[in-house]
Amino acid sequence: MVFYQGPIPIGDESYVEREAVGNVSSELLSQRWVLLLGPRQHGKTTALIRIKRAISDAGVSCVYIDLQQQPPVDSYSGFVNWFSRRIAEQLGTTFEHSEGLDDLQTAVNQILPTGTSRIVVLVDEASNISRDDWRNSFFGQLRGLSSARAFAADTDASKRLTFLFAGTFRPETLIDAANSPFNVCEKIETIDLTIDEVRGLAATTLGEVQGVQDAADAIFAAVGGQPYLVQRLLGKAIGSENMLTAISQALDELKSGQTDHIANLFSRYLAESKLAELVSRLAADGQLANSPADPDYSFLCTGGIAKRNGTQIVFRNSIYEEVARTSPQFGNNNAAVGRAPVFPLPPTSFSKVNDVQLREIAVSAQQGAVASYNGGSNRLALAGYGCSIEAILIDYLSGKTEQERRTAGQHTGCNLNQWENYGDAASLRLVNLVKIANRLLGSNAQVPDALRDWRNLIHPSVATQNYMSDEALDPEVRVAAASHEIFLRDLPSGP
Amino acid sequence: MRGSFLKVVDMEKRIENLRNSTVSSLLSPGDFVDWTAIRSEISRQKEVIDALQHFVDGGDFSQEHLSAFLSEVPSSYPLLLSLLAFNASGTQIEKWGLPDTVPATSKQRERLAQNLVTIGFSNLFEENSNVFDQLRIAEVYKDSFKRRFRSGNQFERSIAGLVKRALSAVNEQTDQELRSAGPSILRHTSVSRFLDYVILQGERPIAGVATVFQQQSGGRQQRELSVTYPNLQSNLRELGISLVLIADGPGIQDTSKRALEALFEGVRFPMTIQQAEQGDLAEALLETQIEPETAPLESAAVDRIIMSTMEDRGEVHASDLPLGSREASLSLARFVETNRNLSIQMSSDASKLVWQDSDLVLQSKELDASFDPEKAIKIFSKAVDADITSIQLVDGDCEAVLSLERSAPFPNWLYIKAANQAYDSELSLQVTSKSMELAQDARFSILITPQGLESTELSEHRRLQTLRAVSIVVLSPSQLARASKSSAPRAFFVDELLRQADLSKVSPYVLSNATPSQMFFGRDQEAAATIATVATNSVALLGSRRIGKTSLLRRLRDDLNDANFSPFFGDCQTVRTWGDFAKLAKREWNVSIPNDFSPSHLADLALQLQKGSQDRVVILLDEIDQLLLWDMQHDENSVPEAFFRACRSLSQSGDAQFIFTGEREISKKIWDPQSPHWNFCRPIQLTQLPRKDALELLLSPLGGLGIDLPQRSDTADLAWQYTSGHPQLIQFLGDRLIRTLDIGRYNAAFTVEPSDVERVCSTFEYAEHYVTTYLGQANQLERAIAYRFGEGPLEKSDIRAMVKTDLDHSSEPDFETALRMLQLYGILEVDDSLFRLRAEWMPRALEYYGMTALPGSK
Repeated sequence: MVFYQGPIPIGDESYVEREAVGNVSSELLSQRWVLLLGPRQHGKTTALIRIKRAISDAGVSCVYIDLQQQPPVDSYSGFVNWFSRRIAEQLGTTFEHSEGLDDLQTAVNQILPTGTSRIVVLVDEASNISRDDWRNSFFGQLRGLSSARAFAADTDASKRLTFLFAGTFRPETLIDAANSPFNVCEKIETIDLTIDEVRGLAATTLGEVQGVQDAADAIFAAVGGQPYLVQRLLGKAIGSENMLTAISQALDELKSGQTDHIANLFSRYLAESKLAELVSRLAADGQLANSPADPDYSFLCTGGIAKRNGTQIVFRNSIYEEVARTSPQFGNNNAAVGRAPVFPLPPTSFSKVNDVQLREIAVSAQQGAVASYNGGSNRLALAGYGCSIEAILIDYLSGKTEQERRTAGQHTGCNLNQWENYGDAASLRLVNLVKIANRLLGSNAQVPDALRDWRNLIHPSVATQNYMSDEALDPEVRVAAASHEIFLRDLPSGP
Repeated sequence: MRGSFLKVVDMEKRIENLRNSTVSSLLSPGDFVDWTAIRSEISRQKEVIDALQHFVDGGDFSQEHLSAFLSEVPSSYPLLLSLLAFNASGTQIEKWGLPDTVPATSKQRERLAQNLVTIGFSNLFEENSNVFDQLRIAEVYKDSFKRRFRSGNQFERSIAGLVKRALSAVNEQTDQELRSAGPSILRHTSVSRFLDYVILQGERPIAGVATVFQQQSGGRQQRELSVTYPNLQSNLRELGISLVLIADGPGIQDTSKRALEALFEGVRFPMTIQQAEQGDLAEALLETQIEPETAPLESAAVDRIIMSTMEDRGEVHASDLPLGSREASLSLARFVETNRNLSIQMSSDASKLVWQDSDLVLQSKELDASFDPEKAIKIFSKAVDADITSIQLVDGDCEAVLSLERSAPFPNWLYIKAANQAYDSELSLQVTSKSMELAQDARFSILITPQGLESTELSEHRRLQTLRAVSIVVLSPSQLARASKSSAPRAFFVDELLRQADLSKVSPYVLSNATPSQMFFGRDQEAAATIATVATNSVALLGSRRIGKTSLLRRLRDDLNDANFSPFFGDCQTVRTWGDFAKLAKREWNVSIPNDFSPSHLADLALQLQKGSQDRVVILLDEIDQLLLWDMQHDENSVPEAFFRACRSLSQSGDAQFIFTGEREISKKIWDPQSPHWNFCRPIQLTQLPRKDALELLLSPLGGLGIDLPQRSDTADLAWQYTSGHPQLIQFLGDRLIRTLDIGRYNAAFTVEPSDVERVCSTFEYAEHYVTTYLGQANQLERAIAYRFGEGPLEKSDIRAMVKTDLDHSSEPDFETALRMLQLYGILEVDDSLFRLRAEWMPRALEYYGMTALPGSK
C-alpha cells in the first residue's frame, strides 16, 4: 500500500526510515529546540508522528499541536487559551479558560503537571497564524521562554519545555529576527529519498515482480526522491498491466500542472514576486548561482522547488523543471505542445488591491480563469483574466484623486459617455480605465493591450465578430496568464 | 625507503651524521615580533588611546583627576599597566595592590589612583608624549613573551608533518596500519609527559615520539640527552614501546661526544629533523613494528609480582620480592614511577607499597566477588568524591542521588542505580525516568550491574543512547575496582562516559541560548567598563545577535548586586509597546503600574524600585530595539520618543541608570549626532572575543572532558582562523568536535587534532552557518560590501567604488551606517582609515557559494 494522502501510519511497511527522525528526536531529548523545515508533502508530519513516539518511548511527555486545526478565535487571548488547552488535554492536566490570558509563559506554567518533568511540544504547520500581531506575540513569548531557560528554576516551564516547530515557511519573514524563537533552534531540513530507498520502496509496494527496478528508476529519474511524488507514482503503477506506461501517464498529468501538489508548489512561489523572478531565471538558465545569507535563495530549497548542487541551485527534479519551463507565468513564451501549466495565485498576491470586494472579485476571477483553462475552456479563461485585471484597475484608479483621473483622461483623449464621470472610477468604461491607468502608471506598469478583447469574449456577439474556436485561443490564455502575473507584479503599492 | 642512519651501525659515524644534519634555526621573521598582532591591538584600542592622549595632553596627573579619568574611561587602565610594564604577571599586579580592572566603587578607585601616583605613573609622560608610540613599544615588550611559543609552534608543526608523512610511507608497506595519537593515550604520565605522539599498531602502542630543540649546549641540555631520554626509553621499554627522539638545533651540534654516546646507547631511535625527513623516521617505525620493544624479562617479572601482590593483599613489601633489599626497593620505586596512573603510596623507607585508599580497593574487590548494590553505589560516590544526598533500597536494588562539585561533564546532582540484574531496555527506561525526576540537569546517569556492558553490546548501546532523554553509563564491579585503584578516578569515569554516551548530550557548549555561568568566558573589560559607568551614566551594549549580549547582561546583574547596586532585569524580546513594558515591569519587578501606563510614569516606577534600599537602581533592558521602534513611531502629548526621553531624564537626574542591549535601532540612535539621544548612554560594542578568551571557551570544556589536544597550538590557530573569535561559532565548532569524536580509538583516550577542526569546518554546513551568523541581520548594502571584501585593506573610497552599483539606491549616510554596522558585526575593522576584514574566513566561506571576493587594492 502507498500513502500519498496524509501521513504514513506507524508500522506501515511502506515507510522508509528517515535519518531526520533520529536526529530530531536526539536533539529534542537533549533539550535543544528544533526547527524542522521541508517542502510540503515531504514527510514532515509522518516524521513527527514517529518523533512523538520516540520521545514518549524515552519516558518524556510529548504533545503534538497542529496550528492548522486552530478554531476561529477573536482575540490573541483566545488563541493562547486554545493552545494551552491542547497541551493540557494531552498531558492530562486541567485547564481553565481565562478571558484575559495573553501571556504564554503564565499559561503554560498553569497547566504543567507539578514537579520537574520534561515535556516536548511539537508544533506542526507553525506558520499557520494569519494575524501578524498574534504571530509576533506568540513567537516572541516562546522566544522569551527560551531565553529564560539558562537561569530558571527547575519547576519553571521554560526549563521543562522543549519545542519543535515544523512547516514549510520562511522563518525570517514570519517574525522579526530579534525575538524569533527560530534563531535559538537547531535547524534540520528534510531530505529526499535516495535511489536505493526508492528501489526498496518500489519492491515493498509493487512486490518482487519483473520490471520493478525499471519502474523505480523511471520514477527517480523524473521526480528524484520527492517522497510524495514517489508514492503517488508507485500508487499509479500498482496493479497496472504495464508499470512504465502507467508511470508515464501519471507524469504527464503532473506536467500539466493540474495536480494539487504541483499547483500548490508553484502558487507558493508565484505569491512573491522575488521568488517568482528567481524561479523564472532558474527555468531560463537551468541553474542559479547561490547567494549567501539571502533568504529568498534559501527558500528555493526549503520550499521544495530546488536543491543545492555545489555552488549552484538547480531544480529539485525534472518534473518541476519541465513545469516551470513550460508555464507562461515563469516566462515561457513558446507555444508548448499541449496545454501549458497555469497556476492560480493565492489571495496574498492581491494585497495591492485595497478594496475588499474588488480584491475578492479579482482573486476569484483569476482562479476561475485557471480552472477554466485547466478544464479546457479557453474563452472563459480569457474572460476571467480580463475581469480580474479590470477589478484591479478600478481599485487602482479609485486610489487616485478625481483631479488626477481627470487630467490623465484629458491628456489621453478619453470620451466619457453620459453614465461615466471622473469622480467615480467604477463608472468608467474599460476603454477609459485602460487609457487613464496607462497614463498614470507611466513606465511602472502597463495594462495589457488585449485586455478589452479578452474581457469582451464573455459576450457571444462580440466573440463572433472575429471568431476563433475555443481550442484556437490556447496561446492567448498563456499570454493572458503571463500578462496578469506581470501586471500584478509591477502595479505600485498604495494609492 | 632505506634511510641514511639506521644502516649505520658504527656509533661514531651515527653521531657524526646526527651532528652534520642539525639545523641552526627554525624561526621565521614573524616569529620574532608579530607586527600584525601589534598593529591590530593598537588599532582595536584606538578610541581608548585617543582618550588617554587627551588626558596626557591636559597635563593634570593629580590623584583626583586620574581617579575621575579612570572612572570615565576604565578601559584605559590596562593601557596604563602596559606602559608601566605591569601586564606581564598577575602576581605583580597583586603584589603592588593594583586590581585587574578599575573597581566599581569610588573609594576603591581613589585608592587605585593613589597607588598609580605613588608608583610615579606621570613619569611616563614627558611634554609632547605620544601615547600611540609609547604603546607600540609596550606592545613589542608584551609580544616578546609569546616568542618562545611561536618558535615552539614552528617546531611542533614541522614534527606533525613529519609524523604524518612517515606514517603514510609505512602504511604503504604494511598490512597492519599504523596511526598516531596523543601521548595521554598511554595514561602513564611518567612517560606521556615527555612525548608528543604515540604510534599505534591497531590498538597497541609501539612507539613514542619525543622532540627536543636545543639552541645551546650546557649542563642541563647535556643531562637531558644523556640521562632524561635514556631513562624515558627505559620506562617505555617496560610498556613495550620504542622511543623515537627527534633532537635538533645548534646545541645538539655542540653537545659532547660522551653525552651523545649515552643518548645513542640509551635511546633506540635518535635522529634530527633532516634525518627524519630523509626516511629514518619511517624506517624506525617500520623496524619497531617488526621488532617491538620488549621489557627485560626480569624487570617484567618483578612488576608482575608487585602487581599481583597488590591485587591480592593490598600492599607489597620489599621482602616479598625475590631480590636483595636494595634492588627490591628500587624495583618498588620504579613501579610507582612507571605506574603513575595507579593510586599507590610508598612508605618513607621505600620498603612498602600500599593503595592510597586501601579500604576502597578492598571494598571493590569484595564487590567483584559478591555483588551488593548499596556497596556499589558507595564505592562509586567515594571514588568521584561525591556526597550521597539520598539513598534507598528498592526490591533488592539500590538507588541514590549524589551531590558533586560541578565541573564538566559532571552535574551538581547525579542519579545512580545499582541493580542485581542484567542491563535491558526496561531497566534503562527506569533509570532515565528517575534521573529526569531526581537530577534534572544531569545529561547522564550511572547504572551498576553485576555484568556491566559486554564489548559486543557497546555499539547498540551507543545507538540507543541517542533516543534516551538521559544517557546511561553502565559500569561493572571490575570497572569500579579499576577506578578505585586509579590516581584519577573521575577521569576514568569520564572516559567511560565518552565511550558510552550520546555525545550530543555530553557536549557542554551552548549553541542557542544565554550562556550559563560555567561556560561564560571573557568580557571582563566590557563588564568592568559597564559597572564603572553606571555609577554616573547609562550604558548601551551594542552587538549583533548571538554575540553574547544577553549572557553578559545576566552576568552584569550578578556583578551589580555584588557591587551594591540594585539591578532590575527585563527581557524585552516580547516588549513591542509601552503597554508591554508596563506588563513586564509589573510581572518581573512586582511594582504597581497604572492601567494607562505611559512613559511619564517611568519616574514613579523608578521610585518604587528604589523603595527600601540605599543601593542605586540600575534597570537592565535586554533587546530594546523593538521598543525603540515603537517609541519612534508614537508620541506622548506630542513628545516624540517619549520612553527613551524619560529614561534619559531618569539617568541624568541620577534616579536610575539603564543598561540596554540592542542591535541596529539603538546603534543608529546612539551613533546619529542629530538624534537627541546620541550622547545619552555610553556605547560599548560587543564584537568577537579576544583570542585568549575565545580559545579558552573552546579548549577548556574539551580539557574538562579529558580530551587530549596533541597539537594544541595548531588546533587553536585553526579554530581562530575559522571563527575569528565569534563566541557562537566557537561554541558551534566545539559542539561539532565533540559530536564527531572518534570513539574507536585505543583505550578510550579521545583526541581533537587540527584535522578534526578541518573536518568540521571544511563543509558547506559550516560555511553557511558562518555566513549566516555574521551576516544574518545585514542589509543588502552591508552584504554586498562583505561579499566583495577580499584580503584588503581598503580605503573608504575603494569600498564605495567596489559597491557602486549597489549604492544606486543608497545614500551616503546609508553607506556610512553600513560600514559601522559591519564593524559592529565584527566583519570589518578599521585602522588608520584603512578597512580590513576581521572575520578573516569570510572570503573562504563565500567560496562555498561560488563567490570570489575582490583582492585587496592596497
